[in-house]
Amino acid sequence: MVGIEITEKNDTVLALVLRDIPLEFANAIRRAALEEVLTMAIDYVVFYDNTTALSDEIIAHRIAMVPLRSDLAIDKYRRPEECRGSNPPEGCYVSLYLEAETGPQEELVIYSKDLKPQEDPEVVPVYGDIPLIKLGPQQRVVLEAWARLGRGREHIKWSPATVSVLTYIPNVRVITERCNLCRLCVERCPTKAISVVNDRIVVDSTKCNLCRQCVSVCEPEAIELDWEKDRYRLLIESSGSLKPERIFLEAVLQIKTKLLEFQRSFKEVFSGVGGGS
Amino acid sequence: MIIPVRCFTCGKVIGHLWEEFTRRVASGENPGKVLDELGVRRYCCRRMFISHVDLINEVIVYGRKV
Repeated sequence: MVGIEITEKNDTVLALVLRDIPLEFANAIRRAALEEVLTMAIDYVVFYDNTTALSDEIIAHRIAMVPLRSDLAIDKYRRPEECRGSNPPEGCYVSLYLEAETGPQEELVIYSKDLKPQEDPEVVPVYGDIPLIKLGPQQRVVLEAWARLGRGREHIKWSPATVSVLTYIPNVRVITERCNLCRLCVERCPTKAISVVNDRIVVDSTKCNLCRQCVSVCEPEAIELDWEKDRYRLLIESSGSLKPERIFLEAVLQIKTKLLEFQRSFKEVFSGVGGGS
Repeated sequence: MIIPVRCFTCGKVIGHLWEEFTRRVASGENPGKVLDELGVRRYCCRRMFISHVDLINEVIVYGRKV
Protein backbone atom coordinates (compact mmCIF):
# COMPACT_ATOMS: atom_id res chain seq x y z
CA MET A 1 0.00 0.00 0.00
CA VAL A 2 1.20 3.46 -0.83
CA GLY A 3 2.52 5.19 2.23
CA ILE A 4 4.69 8.06 3.36
CA GLU A 5 6.66 8.09 6.56
CA ILE A 6 8.46 11.14 7.91
CA THR A 7 11.92 10.34 9.24
CA GLU A 8 13.24 13.85 9.73
CA LYS A 9 11.56 17.22 9.68
CA ASN A 10 12.57 20.72 10.63
CA ASP A 11 12.36 24.21 9.13
CA THR A 12 14.63 23.44 6.21
CA VAL A 13 14.92 19.66 5.89
CA LEU A 14 12.31 17.03 5.18
CA ALA A 15 13.24 13.35 4.91
CA LEU A 16 10.55 10.92 3.82
CA VAL A 17 10.36 7.21 3.19
CA LEU A 18 8.06 6.54 0.26
CA ARG A 19 6.51 3.08 0.22
CA ASP A 20 5.14 1.37 -2.91
CA ILE A 21 5.63 4.44 -5.06
CA PRO A 22 7.43 3.49 -8.30
CA LEU A 23 11.00 4.76 -8.56
CA GLU A 24 10.16 6.69 -11.73
CA PHE A 25 7.34 8.57 -10.06
CA ALA A 26 9.33 9.28 -6.90
CA ASN A 27 12.09 10.61 -9.14
CA ALA A 28 9.58 12.84 -10.95
CA ILE A 29 8.68 14.39 -7.59
CA ARG A 30 12.36 14.87 -6.79
CA ARG A 31 13.00 16.63 -10.09
CA ALA A 32 9.83 18.72 -9.89
CA ALA A 33 10.94 19.95 -6.46
CA LEU A 34 14.13 21.27 -8.04
CA GLU A 35 12.91 22.71 -11.30
CA GLU A 36 9.12 22.99 -11.52
CA VAL A 37 7.94 24.50 -8.23
CA LEU A 38 7.31 28.24 -8.44
CA THR A 39 9.10 30.68 -6.16
CA MET A 40 9.81 34.41 -6.08
CA ALA A 41 13.27 35.71 -7.00
CA ILE A 42 14.66 39.01 -8.18
CA ASP A 43 14.94 39.13 -11.95
CA TYR A 44 15.52 42.78 -12.90
CA VAL A 45 17.59 45.36 -11.06
CA VAL A 46 17.46 49.04 -11.98
CA PHE A 47 20.43 51.05 -10.74
CA TYR A 48 19.82 54.73 -10.12
CA ASP A 49 23.25 55.25 -8.60
CA ASN A 50 26.19 53.03 -7.77
CA THR A 51 29.58 54.43 -6.80
CA THR A 52 30.63 51.39 -4.78
CA ALA A 53 33.60 49.15 -5.57
CA LEU A 54 31.25 46.38 -6.66
CA SER A 55 29.97 46.63 -10.22
CA ASP A 56 26.26 46.70 -11.03
CA GLU A 57 26.41 43.15 -12.34
CA ILE A 58 27.98 41.72 -9.19
CA ILE A 59 25.40 43.46 -7.01
CA ALA A 60 22.51 42.37 -9.23
CA HIS A 61 23.72 38.79 -9.15
CA ARG A 62 24.16 38.78 -5.38
CA ILE A 63 20.70 40.24 -4.84
CA ALA A 64 19.16 37.65 -7.15
CA MET A 65 20.63 34.79 -5.10
CA VAL A 66 18.78 35.94 -1.97
CA PRO A 67 15.75 33.70 -1.38
CA LEU A 68 12.47 35.57 -0.99
CA ARG A 69 9.46 34.43 1.00
CA SER A 70 7.18 32.73 -1.51
CA ASP A 71 4.56 30.81 0.48
CA LEU A 72 1.85 33.42 -0.16
CA ALA A 73 3.27 34.81 -3.38
CA ILE A 74 2.89 31.62 -5.43
CA ASP A 75 -0.89 31.89 -5.30
CA LYS A 76 -0.95 35.64 -5.69
CA TYR A 77 1.22 36.47 -8.69
CA ARG A 78 1.04 35.43 -12.31
CA ARG A 79 2.96 32.45 -13.58
CA PRO A 80 6.12 33.08 -15.64
CA GLU A 81 4.36 31.84 -18.81
CA GLU A 82 1.97 34.78 -18.56
CA CYS A 83 4.68 37.37 -17.92
CA ARG A 84 6.77 37.12 -21.09
CA GLY A 85 7.48 39.96 -23.47
CA SER A 86 8.35 43.61 -23.10
CA ASN A 87 4.95 44.55 -21.71
CA PRO A 88 4.13 42.16 -18.88
CA PRO A 89 0.61 42.43 -17.47
CA GLU A 90 -0.27 43.57 -13.95
CA GLY A 91 0.42 41.11 -11.19
CA CYS A 92 3.75 39.83 -12.51
CA TYR A 93 6.37 41.90 -10.78
CA VAL A 94 6.86 43.19 -7.27
CA SER A 95 9.62 45.61 -6.38
CA LEU A 96 12.08 46.06 -3.52
CA TYR A 97 14.03 49.23 -2.93
CA LEU A 98 17.51 49.85 -1.58
CA GLU A 99 19.15 53.17 -0.83
CA ALA A 100 22.35 53.74 1.14
CA GLU A 101 25.00 56.42 1.43
CA THR A 102 28.14 56.85 3.52
CA GLY A 103 29.82 59.92 4.96
CA PRO A 104 33.52 60.90 4.56
CA GLN A 105 34.82 58.56 7.30
CA GLU A 106 32.12 55.93 7.24
CA GLU A 107 31.99 52.30 6.14
CA LEU A 108 28.73 50.43 5.82
CA VAL A 109 27.63 46.87 5.14
CA ILE A 110 24.34 46.49 3.31
CA TYR A 111 22.40 43.40 4.35
CA SER A 112 19.54 41.64 2.68
CA LYS A 113 17.17 43.09 5.29
CA ASP A 114 17.90 46.54 3.82
CA LEU A 115 15.98 45.55 0.70
CA LYS A 116 12.66 47.21 1.50
CA PRO A 117 9.50 45.87 -0.11
CA GLN A 118 7.53 48.60 -1.87
CA GLU A 119 4.12 47.10 -2.70
CA ASP A 120 3.98 43.75 -0.95
CA PRO A 121 5.34 43.36 2.61
CA GLU A 122 5.05 39.58 2.28
CA VAL A 123 7.74 39.28 -0.39
CA VAL A 124 10.85 39.88 1.70
CA PRO A 125 14.24 38.16 2.01
CA VAL A 126 14.01 35.01 4.12
CA TYR A 127 17.38 35.63 5.75
CA GLY A 128 17.93 39.24 6.76
CA ASP A 129 21.61 39.01 7.61
CA ILE A 130 23.19 38.20 4.26
CA PRO A 131 25.90 40.80 3.53
CA LEU A 132 25.22 42.08 0.01
CA ILE A 133 27.40 45.14 -0.52
CA LYS A 134 30.03 46.94 1.48
CA LEU A 135 30.32 50.69 1.04
CA GLY A 136 33.56 52.61 1.59
CA PRO A 137 33.67 56.30 2.57
CA GLN A 138 31.51 58.60 0.46
CA GLN A 139 29.86 56.00 -1.67
CA ARG A 140 26.26 55.66 -2.64
CA VAL A 141 24.00 52.98 -4.01
CA VAL A 142 20.36 53.35 -5.03
CA LEU A 143 18.56 50.53 -6.75
CA GLU A 144 15.19 49.02 -7.39
CA ALA A 145 14.92 45.25 -7.68
CA TRP A 146 12.03 43.55 -9.47
CA ALA A 147 11.04 40.07 -8.40
CA ARG A 148 8.75 37.64 -10.20
CA LEU A 149 7.69 34.03 -10.02
CA GLY A 150 9.87 31.57 -11.85
CA ARG A 151 10.96 27.96 -12.01
CA GLY A 152 14.27 26.33 -11.20
CA ARG A 153 14.65 25.05 -14.76
CA GLU A 154 14.96 28.66 -15.96
CA HIS A 155 17.53 29.71 -13.36
CA ILE A 156 18.58 28.02 -10.14
CA LYS A 157 17.71 31.14 -8.12
CA TRP A 158 14.04 30.15 -8.49
CA SER A 159 14.61 26.65 -7.22
CA PRO A 160 13.04 26.23 -3.76
CA ALA A 161 15.18 23.20 -2.93
CA THR A 162 18.93 23.27 -2.59
CA VAL A 163 19.10 19.51 -2.16
CA SER A 164 16.54 17.04 -3.45
CA VAL A 165 17.77 13.48 -3.49
CA LEU A 166 16.21 10.06 -3.80
CA THR A 167 18.16 7.19 -2.28
CA TYR A 168 17.82 3.47 -1.94
CA ILE A 169 17.35 2.05 1.52
CA PRO A 170 20.16 -0.44 2.20
CA ASN A 171 19.42 -3.94 3.34
CA VAL A 172 22.51 -5.62 4.82
CA ARG A 173 22.34 -9.21 5.93
CA VAL A 174 25.08 -11.02 7.82
CA ILE A 175 25.02 -14.78 7.52
CA THR A 176 26.20 -15.70 11.01
CA GLU A 177 27.03 -19.33 10.16
CA ARG A 178 29.60 -18.18 7.58
CA CYS A 179 31.00 -15.25 9.57
CA ASN A 180 34.41 -15.92 11.15
CA LEU A 181 34.42 -12.63 13.09
CA CYS A 182 37.60 -11.41 11.41
CA ARG A 183 36.29 -7.83 11.78
CA LEU A 184 37.76 -6.71 8.46
CA CYS A 185 34.36 -5.30 7.52
CA VAL A 186 34.23 -3.27 10.75
CA GLU A 187 37.58 -1.70 9.91
CA ARG A 188 36.79 -1.15 6.25
CA CYS A 189 33.32 0.41 6.56
CA PRO A 190 33.78 4.15 5.77
CA THR A 191 30.59 5.21 7.56
CA LYS A 192 31.21 3.01 10.63
CA ALA A 193 27.88 1.28 10.19
CA ILE A 194 29.22 -2.12 11.27
CA SER A 195 30.05 -3.03 14.85
CA VAL A 196 30.49 -6.16 16.93
CA VAL A 197 28.06 -6.72 19.77
CA ASN A 198 28.24 -9.95 21.83
CA ASP A 199 30.38 -11.68 19.18
CA ARG A 200 27.90 -10.91 16.45
CA ILE A 201 28.21 -8.50 13.57
CA VAL A 202 25.58 -5.80 13.89
CA VAL A 203 24.82 -3.42 11.03
CA ASP A 204 23.20 -0.02 11.39
CA SER A 205 21.66 0.22 7.93
CA THR A 206 20.72 3.90 8.36
CA LYS A 207 24.44 4.69 8.17
CA CYS A 208 25.18 2.38 5.23
CA ASN A 209 25.84 4.13 1.90
CA LEU A 210 25.82 0.96 -0.22
CA CYS A 211 29.54 1.16 -1.07
CA ARG A 212 29.87 -2.66 -0.90
CA GLN A 213 33.37 -2.52 0.58
CA CYS A 214 32.32 -4.89 3.38
CA VAL A 215 31.17 -7.40 0.78
CA SER A 216 34.45 -7.24 -1.15
CA VAL A 217 36.60 -7.55 1.98
CA CYS A 218 34.66 -10.48 3.48
CA GLU A 219 36.62 -13.67 2.83
CA PRO A 220 33.88 -16.21 3.77
CA GLU A 221 31.25 -14.22 1.84
CA ALA A 222 29.13 -13.78 4.91
CA ILE A 223 27.66 -10.40 3.98
CA GLU A 224 24.84 -9.94 1.53
CA LEU A 225 24.00 -6.43 0.50
CA ASP A 226 21.12 -5.13 -1.53
CA TRP A 227 18.40 -2.54 -1.15
CA GLU A 228 14.72 -2.59 -0.39
CA LYS A 229 12.67 -2.93 -3.56
CA ASP A 230 9.54 -1.06 -2.55
CA ARG A 231 10.87 1.77 -0.41
CA TYR A 232 12.87 4.88 -1.26
CA ARG A 233 14.11 7.74 0.82
CA LEU A 234 13.44 11.27 -0.43
CA LEU A 235 15.34 14.14 1.14
CA ILE A 236 14.40 17.74 0.42
CA GLU A 237 16.40 20.64 1.80
CA SER A 238 14.79 24.03 1.34
CA SER A 239 16.58 27.25 0.41
CA GLY A 240 14.11 28.97 2.75
CA SER A 241 11.67 30.41 0.20
CA LEU A 242 9.16 27.62 0.91
CA LYS A 243 8.83 25.15 3.76
CA PRO A 244 10.12 21.73 2.66
CA GLU A 245 6.71 20.06 3.07
CA ARG A 246 5.22 22.76 0.85
CA ILE A 247 7.88 22.06 -1.76
CA PHE A 248 6.85 18.40 -1.77
CA LEU A 249 3.15 19.23 -2.14
CA GLU A 250 3.79 21.81 -4.86
CA ALA A 251 6.01 19.36 -6.73
CA VAL A 252 3.18 16.81 -6.77
CA LEU A 253 0.74 19.54 -7.89
CA GLN A 254 3.05 20.58 -10.72
CA ILE A 255 3.26 17.00 -11.98
CA LYS A 256 -0.52 16.75 -11.79
CA THR A 257 -0.95 19.99 -13.75
CA LYS A 258 1.40 18.70 -16.43
CA LEU A 259 -0.45 15.40 -16.68
CA LEU A 260 -3.81 17.17 -17.01
CA GLU A 261 -2.33 19.38 -19.71
CA PHE A 262 -1.07 16.28 -21.49
CA GLN A 263 -4.46 14.60 -21.19
CA ARG A 264 -6.17 17.68 -22.63
CA SER A 265 -3.92 17.89 -25.68
CA PHE A 266 -4.21 14.13 -26.17
CA LYS A 267 -8.00 14.40 -26.20
CA GLU A 268 -7.80 17.30 -28.65
CA VAL A 269 -5.75 15.29 -31.10
CA PHE A 270 -8.13 12.36 -31.00
CA SER A 271 -11.31 14.37 -31.17
CA GLY A 272 -9.75 16.01 -34.25
CA VAL A 273 -9.21 12.61 -35.90
CA GLY A 274 -12.70 11.34 -35.08
CA GLY A 275 -14.92 14.40 -35.42
CA GLY A 276 -12.98 16.48 -37.92
CA SER A 277 -13.76 19.72 -36.11
CA MET B 1 36.26 39.02 -2.16
CA ILE B 2 32.94 39.28 -0.34
CA ILE B 3 31.29 36.17 1.09
CA PRO B 4 29.12 34.51 -1.59
CA VAL B 5 25.40 34.45 -0.84
CA ARG B 6 25.14 30.73 -1.58
CA CYS B 7 27.36 27.68 -1.69
CA PHE B 8 28.82 27.36 -5.20
CA THR B 9 28.10 23.65 -5.38
CA CYS B 10 24.79 22.92 -3.68
CA GLY B 11 23.17 26.35 -3.44
CA LYS B 12 22.64 26.39 0.31
CA VAL B 13 22.35 29.95 1.60
CA ILE B 14 25.47 30.63 3.65
CA GLY B 15 26.00 34.41 3.50
CA HIS B 16 24.08 35.12 6.70
CA LEU B 17 26.32 32.76 8.67
CA TRP B 18 29.63 34.36 7.73
CA GLU B 19 29.77 37.12 10.33
CA GLU B 20 28.93 34.80 13.20
CA PHE B 21 31.50 32.31 11.90
CA THR B 22 34.33 34.86 11.74
CA ARG B 23 33.40 36.38 15.08
CA ARG B 24 33.41 33.05 16.87
CA VAL B 25 36.57 31.78 15.18
CA ALA B 26 38.36 35.06 16.02
CA SER B 27 37.40 34.55 19.65
CA GLY B 28 39.24 31.25 19.63
CA GLU B 29 36.60 28.63 18.88
CA ASN B 30 37.33 25.62 16.72
CA PRO B 31 36.16 26.39 13.14
CA GLY B 32 34.91 22.85 12.60
CA LYS B 33 32.80 22.97 15.72
CA VAL B 34 31.37 26.37 14.81
CA LEU B 35 30.35 25.08 11.37
CA ASP B 36 28.71 22.03 12.96
CA GLU B 37 26.71 24.26 15.25
CA LEU B 38 25.72 26.59 12.41
CA GLY B 39 24.26 23.59 10.59
CA VAL B 40 26.79 23.63 7.75
CA ARG B 41 27.04 19.89 7.22
CA ARG B 42 28.24 19.23 3.68
CA TYR B 43 31.87 19.72 2.77
CA CYS B 44 30.99 21.84 -0.25
CA CYS B 45 29.43 24.43 2.06
CA ARG B 46 32.18 24.12 4.67
CA ARG B 47 34.89 24.95 2.15
CA MET B 48 33.01 28.18 1.35
CA PHE B 49 33.90 29.33 4.86
CA ILE B 50 37.35 27.92 5.40
CA SER B 51 38.66 28.93 1.96
CA HIS B 52 37.14 32.41 1.87
CA VAL B 53 39.45 35.44 1.98
CA ASP B 54 37.49 38.55 2.85
CA LEU B 55 39.27 41.02 0.57
CA ILE B 56 36.30 43.39 0.35
CA ASN B 57 37.79 45.66 3.02
CA GLU B 58 40.78 46.35 0.79
CA VAL B 59 38.65 46.88 -2.30
CA ILE B 60 36.04 49.29 -0.97
CA VAL B 61 38.37 52.32 -1.21
CA TYR B 62 38.41 51.94 -5.00
CA GLY B 63 34.86 53.08 -5.60
CA ARG B 64 33.79 54.97 -8.66
CA LYS B 65 34.50 58.60 -7.86
CA VAL B 66 31.91 61.02 -9.15
